[in-house]
Amino acid sequence: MNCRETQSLLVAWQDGELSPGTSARISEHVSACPSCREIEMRLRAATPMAGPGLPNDLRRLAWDRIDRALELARATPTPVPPSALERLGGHLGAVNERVPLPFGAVVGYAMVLGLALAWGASNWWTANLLRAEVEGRRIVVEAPASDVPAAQFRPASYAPTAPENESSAP
Amino acid sequence: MGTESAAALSGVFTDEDEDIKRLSRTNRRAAVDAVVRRYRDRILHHAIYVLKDYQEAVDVTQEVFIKAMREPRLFDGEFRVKAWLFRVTSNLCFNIVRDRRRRTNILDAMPKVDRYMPDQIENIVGDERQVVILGAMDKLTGEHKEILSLRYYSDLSYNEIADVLGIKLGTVMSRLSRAKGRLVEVLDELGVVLDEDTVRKVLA
Repeated sequence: MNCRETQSLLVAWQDGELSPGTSARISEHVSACPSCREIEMRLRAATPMAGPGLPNDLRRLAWDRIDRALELARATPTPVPPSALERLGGHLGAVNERVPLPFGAVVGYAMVLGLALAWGASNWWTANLLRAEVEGRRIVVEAPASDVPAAQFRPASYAPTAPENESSAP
Repeated sequence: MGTESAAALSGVFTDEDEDIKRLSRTNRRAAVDAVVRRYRDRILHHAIYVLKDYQEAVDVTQEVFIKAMREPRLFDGEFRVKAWLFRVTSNLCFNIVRDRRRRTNILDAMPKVDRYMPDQIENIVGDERQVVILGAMDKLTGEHKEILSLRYYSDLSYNEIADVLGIKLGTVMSRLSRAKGRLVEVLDELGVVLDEDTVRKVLA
């Protein structure tokens, strides 16, 4: 194991999180390598350590508050998660808090009005297009000529006659 | 950090809350109380280490256990209660820390109030040297501070940290290694001596 590999595993080694085999190889390297030993020592000296913890009176005070909060929460029905609309409302409210009120309100109303106008204009335009299509134009159906009987295209008054070149034949 | 390094890790996850989950089948309320009794001190201390404010830490701890009480999956077979509690605590604490930073500009203009109770912090972390280390951790990134706090103050294993942070075991190892390396640099900048004698005294 070289210095680079050893140094990348030093913290896990100090924390006892490595397998016995890897741990033994690191121990061997550290005891033989002065520079890795120096780094290992500095890391060990910088290890944060938990102390004795809160004094008993503060712990008991905290436990009492937690117990009381839980009792209160048990007596209160579980809040229903807000709907998508309510979340949107909350978000807009938060935006409004950050922006000065008159300006935020004006921007909000302008956005709503703009969206409504755009929606109306789009509907009107689509309706006009459809009307023009139905009233002013012929709807073209594309189909192979062989699929449509020739008689369908002839007016009712049409009387079949013999072709001219055939009748003029001697 | 490669796969080989991750494979060198020896930790194996075990569900230490199996007894509470069994109890929940007959009495959910008693099981919730058992979760509170088992984890209240650790959650409270974790919150204190991150927030350095007793009142806020108690508020966060209350909120964590109320969320736990209302969590429908809490006693499911595969649900990892401890990791979930620490994850919720970390999220709530870092939301508060973020809000504090946002308010910094406003608060700078106001008279300072010492909310951090240095005497109590010294009680919690032990000696003066550890107070310096805790102070140095404030100069690290949130990510590094969080992982160091989970490992050394809350005494979570690498597997548990991976669960809490939702990252791979190899990432836990590399992030901790970087965080501790950075902590050594910060302590150097602060002029804290990290020599062999100090280590002997710390370990004595």
